Order: sequence, then C-alpha cells, then structure tokens
Amino acid sequence: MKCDDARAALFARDLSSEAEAHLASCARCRAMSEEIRRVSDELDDPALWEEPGPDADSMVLAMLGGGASSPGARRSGARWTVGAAAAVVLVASIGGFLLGQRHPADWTAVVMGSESAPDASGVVRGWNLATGTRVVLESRGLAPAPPGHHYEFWFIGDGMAFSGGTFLDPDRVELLVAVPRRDFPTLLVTLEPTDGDPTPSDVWVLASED
Amino acid sequence: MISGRMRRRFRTGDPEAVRAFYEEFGRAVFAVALRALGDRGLAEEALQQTFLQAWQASSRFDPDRDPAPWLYAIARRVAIDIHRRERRHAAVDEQPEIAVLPASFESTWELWEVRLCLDRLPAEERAVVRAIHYLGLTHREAAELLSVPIGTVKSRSHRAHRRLADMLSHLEEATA
Repeated sequence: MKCDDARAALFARDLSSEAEAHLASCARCRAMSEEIRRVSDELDDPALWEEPGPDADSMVLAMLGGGASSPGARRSGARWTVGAAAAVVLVASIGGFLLGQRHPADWTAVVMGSESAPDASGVVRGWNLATGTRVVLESRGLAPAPPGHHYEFWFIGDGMAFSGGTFLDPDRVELLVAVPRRDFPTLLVTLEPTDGDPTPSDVWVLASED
Repeated sequence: MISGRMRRRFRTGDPEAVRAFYEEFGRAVFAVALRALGDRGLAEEALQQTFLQAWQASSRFDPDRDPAPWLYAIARRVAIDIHRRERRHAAVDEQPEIAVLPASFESTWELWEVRLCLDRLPAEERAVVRAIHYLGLTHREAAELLSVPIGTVKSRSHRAHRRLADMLSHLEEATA
C-alpha cells in the first residue's frame, strides 16, 4: 500500500489490515498519524456543514451588489417635509433594546459617505414592526459629532423625512422609526447643528443608494 | 479557485467579482463564525459584516496574493468584535474586560481550510463525506441515503479522503 492510500484510510477512519500494516512499517506516516486524525476530527464538527439561512445569501449579495455603485454623486441641499411622526422619536440609544437580538434582520441596506464624509460607510439592518421599524446602524469612518452638533437618522421618501432619532457616536446606534420602511426607500444620516430646526440639514454624511 | 483576473476586478469593487468571492469563501466564513460564536443568527451577522468590510477594504487588497488568509483575518476579527459586544451586553454585573478568547476561537484556521477543501471536492464525493462524518452513517447507510451501491460509496469515500488528505497535508506536516 502506498503512503497516500494509507493516509486516506486514516483520514477516513476506515483502516484495513493492509493500511494498519503500512502505518506500522512507515515511520513518516506514523509520525503524521496523530495530526491526520486531528484534522479528520474537524470533519465531524457541525459548524463545518451548516449552511447560512436562505435569506442570508440573498441579503449579502444584495448588499454587496447594491453597494458597489459609486456613492460619490449624492446631492445635498434638498428640502423635505418633516413627517408628523418625527415628533414620535421613541428611542435613540447606544446599547439599547436590540443588542442580543437573535432574529435575522428583515432587510439590510448599505449607506455610503457623501461629499462631506467620503471615507465613511455603514450598514443598516431593519426589523419591521407593527408600530414602525427598528433599525441598527453600524458605521465606519465617522468621528463622534463635534461640539454643538449631533447626527440624525432619517427615513426619506416622496419628499417626506421621518427622523429615527439623534446620536453623537455613530459607530453603532439602535433606533426606532415610527413609520414602516416600505414607503421610504432612502436612508439618510445628517450632521445637525443644535438649532432646533426639525428638518434635515444640508450636511449629509451617509445615504443609501436609491 | 479565484482567478488572477477576478482578484484584480475585486480590487476595483466590481460587483461580479465580489459575488465570486462570496461564492468561493462565504461558506468558510460562516463556518468560522458559527464555531466561534455558537449561534446561527450571530454567524449570519458575521457573514454580512465580513463581506461588507472586505468590500470596503477591497482597494487595499493585493491581487497578487491568495485572498483566503486576508478574508479569514477579516472574518475572525468580525467574530471577535461580535463576541465581545455580546459578552458586554450579556454581563449582569460589571466585570473587567478579559482579553482571552474562548476555546471556540481556536483552530478556526484549520476549520476554514477544511471547509474550502470540501467545497473543492466533486459534489458526489462531498455528499459521501457529509454522510459519513456529519450524519455518522455507515457505508451501507450512506449508500441507502444516496441511492447508490455500497461499492460506489466506498470508492467515492476513498477518493474524497485521499483528495482531502492531499489538500490538507500542509496542516498535518506543519504540526507533525
């Protein structure tokens, strides 16, 4: 028996007497046998054989496919009607209610930096609720808001803007927007001066692709 | 295997190349994340985060190098970040941060390598390996499950394990 065949039998844990005889007489195969068994044991690990859920593949591919177009063409300066529900900002907290959430998100969107934050990017995951939409924003490349300013998360659609809340540290934030996502295709994060103006400022820092 | 041409396209953020990377490495990323985190939901989150970060960093990817170690490093880092986040929020009382990772993070590189090798086996051989190792079936039971003669199961098993032993020989020799 050749070394390759004996090692394959060891790897399969299906040792014939011929394979055992080879291992007994071949010092090199014998020296490797313990490691072969250890690597073979990896094959028993269920993690090796589990597959992502049916939504995970499509979610990742949609996220990557959608995010690959140029984010640099974002215009600022648009004017919005602020939805009445903007007054019903329920939660804007770091480390709030969704941490530990085990259910996959209902949707995922990539948000990319605009001219004012070209190195920024992020991903927004959302859970559709009867009372609105829970969202988790995770971003990179954005510094904490400077003094006298804060970030604000918006749902935008058909000229309407609904705030999901304000925050200072944009790395990871969990929010509740009081409207369903389906009517608001655009996600937006603005840098807002603390001036009491309820409409989105012109300083867009992150936005989803339309 | 990812071609050199596809690696160069990945570097530009080409969606088709990103998808090719996902098809090649997505299952391995998920396997590493699942072993490390022990939770399917968190592993799927890690899968998304890994490819998002890889895409964001694609301009820094060297197309002349094997992308596997680069992607593995991102996947492991993402899993560590998620593990630490979950632990912080699961803690009921204030405890000092402990830098040591749980044992589930050990040997994830081997798991990654084994998963990539499995993906490179012919589908009919991979099915036999799955039946024997994951489902714990005998050759006869595997033959019934796969509706093929037992001799076919044995020959496919031998070929598959010989291929795997050959593809993974660097792991065995590195530690022997």
